[in-house]
Amino acid sequence: MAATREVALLVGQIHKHKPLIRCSLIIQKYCMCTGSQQPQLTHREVQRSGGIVTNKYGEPLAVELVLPKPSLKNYCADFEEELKQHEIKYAHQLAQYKKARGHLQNIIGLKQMSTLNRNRSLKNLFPSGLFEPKARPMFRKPFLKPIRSSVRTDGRPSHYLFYTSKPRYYEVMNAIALKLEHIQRYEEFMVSQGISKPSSEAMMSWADGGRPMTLKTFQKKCGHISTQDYLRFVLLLQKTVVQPYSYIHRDWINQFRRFFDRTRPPKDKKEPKIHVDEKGRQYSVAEGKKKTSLARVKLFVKGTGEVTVNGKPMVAYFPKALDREQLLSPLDVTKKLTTTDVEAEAILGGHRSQARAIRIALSKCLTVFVSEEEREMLRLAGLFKRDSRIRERKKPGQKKARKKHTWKRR
Amino acid sequence: MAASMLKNMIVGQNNIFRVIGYSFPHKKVCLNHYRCCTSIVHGNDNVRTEQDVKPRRPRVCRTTVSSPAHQTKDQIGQFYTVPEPIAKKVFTRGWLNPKLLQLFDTFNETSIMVRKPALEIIDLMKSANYKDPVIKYVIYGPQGTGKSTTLAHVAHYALEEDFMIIHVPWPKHIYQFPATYQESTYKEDRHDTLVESLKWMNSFRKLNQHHLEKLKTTKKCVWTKKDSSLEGTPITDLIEMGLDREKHIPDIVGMIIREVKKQAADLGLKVLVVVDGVNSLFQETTVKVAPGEFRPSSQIGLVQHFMKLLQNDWAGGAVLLTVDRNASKDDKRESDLPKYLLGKEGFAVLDPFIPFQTELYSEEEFHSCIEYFKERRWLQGEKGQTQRGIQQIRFLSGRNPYFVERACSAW
Repeated sequence: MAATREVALLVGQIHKHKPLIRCSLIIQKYCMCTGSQQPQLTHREVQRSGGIVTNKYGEPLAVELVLPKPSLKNYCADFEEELKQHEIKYAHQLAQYKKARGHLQNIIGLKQMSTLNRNRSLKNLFPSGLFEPKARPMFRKPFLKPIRSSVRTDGRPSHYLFYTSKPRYYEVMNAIALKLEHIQRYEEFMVSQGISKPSSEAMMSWADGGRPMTLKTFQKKCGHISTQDYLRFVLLLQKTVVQPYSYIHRDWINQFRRFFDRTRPPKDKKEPKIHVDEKGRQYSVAEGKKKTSLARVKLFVKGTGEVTVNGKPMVAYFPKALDREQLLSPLDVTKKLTTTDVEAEAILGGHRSQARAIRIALSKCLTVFVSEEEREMLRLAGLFKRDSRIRERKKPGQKKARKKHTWKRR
Repeated sequence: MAASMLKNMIVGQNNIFRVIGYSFPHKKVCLNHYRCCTSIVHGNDNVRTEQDVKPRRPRVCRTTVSSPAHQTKDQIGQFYTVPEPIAKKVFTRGWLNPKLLQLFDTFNETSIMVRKPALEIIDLMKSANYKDPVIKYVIYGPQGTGKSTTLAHVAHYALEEDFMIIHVPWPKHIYQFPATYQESTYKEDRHDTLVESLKWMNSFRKLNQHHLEKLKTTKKCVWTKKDSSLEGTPITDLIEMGLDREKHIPDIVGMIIREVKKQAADLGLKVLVVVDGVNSLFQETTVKVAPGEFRPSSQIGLVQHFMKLLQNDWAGGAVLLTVDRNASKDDKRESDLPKYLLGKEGFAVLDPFIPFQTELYSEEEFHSCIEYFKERRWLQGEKGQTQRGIQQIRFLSGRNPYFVERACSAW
């Protein structure tokens, strides 16, 4: 351990004036070359000491050089060169960025600018009609992506499943499969002992409320993988859980599963509140969306079942019965057709999508005034769900989104 | 027991005839049926408590008072059946929406609900002095709330009281898409639409045959150099002449109107002028005169004649009008109020008038309507007849009479 700290010291001295990231990377590389453990140094520690590591009495530690083996010299040099290039590129970008920032500040006439202000001014100076936000002009500080090597110092890959191209994924799968095998072997053994089944209390079951971890969390664990791979993982996990003796690895298996507490109400920050107007009537307000349409609904609890949309009676605003039925559904489910008043505002889009947006807002409004069961009924009826479908764009070389021009031989 | 048996029998009969498709005097049977229902409510088979003894108002959607003159506030919200001879005259095409007429056809009877504005107008017409200048009644209200139906209801009263009825169905039809336009020989800057005038003349003659016999001209008319009609020729002769020579019809219409205005008070003739959608009289036509300029409807012969009926300078009649959003041009349909729809010009012509608003069904009227539809089997689904179904109909229709009918048809 002492030796590695000394290496760090050495490196700190050599690269005193260089950025910290580079320092720590070089320490890492040196340690890899020597085969010793990495020093347990944080960036802060290195920073505080100005690159010089001391013992607890403040004396500098003795230097004991352990040079890397000659065969590995080239590799380290290459890596250092690569880092250097990377750094130069970054420095160049940073200089450009600073220069441009100065120009921008001069144009706008502000000495210091927040990022929000900067983005706004950029929008004014370079207006763009491009659809994709990433394609529009932007102004951002360059970001240095750290270089990571998946190859060991002797030229071999660092992971034993490197050549599967998804090493971390197969590592997990492999581990689960091994556990499964173990559980099955254990079951065989128990049967041979004359015990056909474990007690039902000890058994794990698929219906204990646990679900396999979501694709997102699984991807965090195993890198980017496809949904198909994820499904294979789910199947394997299911097979393992269903085994009668799976409880022997209960804790280990449960790290791949998630549990949620059903008694706790769902987290919804935008849940509407109960307001009271000047006449003392209780009401709630909520918003809904569909396609481009936006709707805001005010729902009065005590009323006579009158509905207005944008100041007009519902019948006048929605001449088609199909649209009116949209508004009917949430009130019908909660049996509040004749006892509530609704004031809705809707903008943009057509009648159908406006009606749908109002429906969502209406059912959100209702949640405050109805019981838990009725809320669950609303949820099951799909009345809270925003319809995520949007208009598909037109493609160049085609008539519409999908429609093609008529084909002609010549 | 006997009553319920009778009820079952009648209902059964009703179904059978419906299936076979025979026409059947529904009216009688249904009235009997309702009597049965009420007698069950008031039946004295068992021993009853005090609460039962109290006279409860039975849920009846019909009334037997079929003459509008005798209808009172008690009948509001109930349906009355229009006698067939009157229904053939007034509850026909031109007076009412064809869809409503279709409904009458399927129901095998012409019955409408007694509503407040019609009763008010009839009351005023009863008490009016017909030697004073005419009173104008203007009906307005949202779409589908029964403006035209109110007209027909009042016209029913007028027919019973032996009024002469001058009905202008939908003034827009006169100039909107006319078959021909012809310059008038009588006056400059006047354009006549022959086919429309002929149509109007025929329907007018049909409706008021016996009144026209009393009228005679008070002025000599020169048609051509050789041809002229002297003072004192009966109007019926004029009309027949007009049917022979179609060219003169628009002018003859003008003459009739002039004579009616002149003589109504003297002859003791009561005249009811009915115009559905008056606001279209004060608009431009669809004919282009110059680029961006349209011919105003005041240059059309028939329109000029009808406008004279709206003035205050004559006595012996009543003028019954509706103001309709649909009669206006597309860019002027934001409000239902008469001042907005008539515009400055129209308002100046009609002023002073008495406004009446047709409204959405009240709660009682709505339930009475539902009862009626149930009885006519227009609302026949099991789910539609439950309380929940009716609540849904109420919500979807917003208690608008037209939409109530539409919503019921779906169940």
